[in-house]
Amino acid sequence: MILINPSIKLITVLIIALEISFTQSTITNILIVLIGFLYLLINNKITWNALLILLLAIIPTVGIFMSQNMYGTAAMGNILVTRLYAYITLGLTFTKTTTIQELGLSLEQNLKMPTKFVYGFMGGFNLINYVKQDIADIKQAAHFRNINLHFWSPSLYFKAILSAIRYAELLSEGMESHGFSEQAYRTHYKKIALNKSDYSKATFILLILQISIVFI
Amino acid sequence: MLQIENLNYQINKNWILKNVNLKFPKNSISIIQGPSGCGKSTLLKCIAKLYPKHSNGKISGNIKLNNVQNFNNLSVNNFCKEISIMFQNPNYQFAMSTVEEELIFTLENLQIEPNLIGTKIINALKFCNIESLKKRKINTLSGGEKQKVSLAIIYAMNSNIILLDEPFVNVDINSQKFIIHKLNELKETKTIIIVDHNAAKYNHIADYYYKFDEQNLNFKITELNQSELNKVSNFTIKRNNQNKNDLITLDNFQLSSGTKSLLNIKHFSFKNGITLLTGDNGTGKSSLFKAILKRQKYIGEVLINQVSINKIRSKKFYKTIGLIFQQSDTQFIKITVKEEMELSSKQTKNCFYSDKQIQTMLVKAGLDGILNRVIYTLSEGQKKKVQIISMLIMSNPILLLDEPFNGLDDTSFNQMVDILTYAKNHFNQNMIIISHQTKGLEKLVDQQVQLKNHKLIEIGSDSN
Repeated sequence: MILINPSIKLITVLIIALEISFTQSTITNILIVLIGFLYLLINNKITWNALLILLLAIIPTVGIFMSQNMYGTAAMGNILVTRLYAYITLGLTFTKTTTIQELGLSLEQNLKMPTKFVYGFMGGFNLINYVKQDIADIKQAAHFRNINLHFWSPSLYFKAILSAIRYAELLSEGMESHGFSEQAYRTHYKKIALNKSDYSKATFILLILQISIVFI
Repeated sequence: MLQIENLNYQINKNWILKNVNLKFPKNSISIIQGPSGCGKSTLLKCIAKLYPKHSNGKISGNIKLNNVQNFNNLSVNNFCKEISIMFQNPNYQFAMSTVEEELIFTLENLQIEPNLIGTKIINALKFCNIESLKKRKINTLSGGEKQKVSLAIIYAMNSNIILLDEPFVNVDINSQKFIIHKLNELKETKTIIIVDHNAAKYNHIADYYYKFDEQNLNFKITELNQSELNKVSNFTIKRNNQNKNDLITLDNFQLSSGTKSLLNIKHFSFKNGITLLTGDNGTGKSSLFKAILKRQKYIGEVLINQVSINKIRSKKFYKTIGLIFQQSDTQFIKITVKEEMELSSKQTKNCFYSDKQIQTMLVKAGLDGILNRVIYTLSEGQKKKVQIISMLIMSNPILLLDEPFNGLDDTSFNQMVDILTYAKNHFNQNMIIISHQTKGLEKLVDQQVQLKNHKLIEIGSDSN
């Protein structure tokens, strides 16, 4: 498994994504897809779920390709299609090899991000299940009044936001009861290492990207 | 020693606690009893300094620790080393996804040296006998397991004063005995304050018992009175023998929450009329409602008027049966009281009530003056009344009510009982009511069913 610090990984992926948005190199895009897949393969992270995402992306891909061929240029079609897959691969390489916890701890320890954001984010992530339960409750409450709330109904969102606000308050209360305070210093049981090798790996990857954009 | 002097607490001008004076000496276990919703939890959260910060209430009075009044200046982590609290609902106390991560999170907050954290985690899990849960995701645990994890965290925090809010609601009897025994060991060095609706289990280990005084809104010291505690209920109803038809039938019915079995019933029928469903917290009363309403998985059959609920089409199903949610906010669809009432009278299919009758009902409940108010700004009691009336207008032949009297003062309680009795007498509406409050329900209720030891038992049935 080739490891790289989660924060450095996130920044590298964001830089690559930003760069390919402004360049028009089909080969670079294909290269990103290939290297991304190689990375996933080495780390043994090619799952059914990942393949499904790629499969679903065929729908917009075909759309873009057809419309560019009919109303634009074929070359632009190729660039947009490969770019789309490059974005998806970048996203997969990051999310499939990093857990929320690893990212959170790294953002806190390596990037010194305020703990309020890091733990608020991680806590919020765990609340998703409760909010889902609440949405089921809200839908049933509507059934009792002979109303069918669809996923586009404004009332559903209004109520879901209300319940999310309530959970946010409860979460902050719960975290405080376990000693959390945004200003206080915290010790770190699991240290997330940030070594020189992480920087060199990131630099290497970005260097290859520049070479491929400029020379190929 | 923890001392509370003249503590008052009010929310929107409603007094929750008034003139509370209590002393909790070191190395003691104190039990606080009282009906749910009375302010026991509020007291604990005030001591833990979470209120009024996380509630819109107003506080006055002193809370002194070892005769020092100004321990308010302590930072959150130092405060937690003095006082820690376990919530009644453990779901709201976890921020992380696994048991181990939550323990690490807490110990890091308390600035424990990283090389000590590993051992502390193992010891805490051992304390509650849950070493096997270490790597488990919290949202896959049962209610009882969550409570044990919550207790393990309290143990790991190692505070001098420990506040436990209904710590055993979902915990099975054997684990309960095990943990109470452990708490007794902890008493050597700690002050422990426990809120529990049933104090009998602390016999021999607790030092002080307090009871909520509903007249004065504060706590009185009492003795543990075995005979009084063992009494199931002093509630008596005149049995109405005319209603004998089966309303809701459970056949070979099994219901569980996670790994904990809640109900296991061969055959039981709720009869026509008004049934009061009672039973201890966490026995599965609300889960039973969820199963009847197709919201929770179960094994076996549930029949409404002899028809399996899986064979009833959604439209017809929701025309037949309705629910009054325990949490009022969940019920509401619109913004103002008036809109909510108009929605019901527009959408109802059965039309029990004429416009004039609805108006009478609103006047009787004292809601006519607040029709244009936004529901979410109302008090809990007012919300309950809006909720009940809006569901009554829907005119479902069967109505399930989950703690419909929570947060109602005596006057409002009587108004609601009258309104429900009217529905019963005039429209033959059938109801199953979950309520911990039984006093004053005599004229409404036809039969009482108790959920105990995974079974439903009809109290005062012919066989008794």
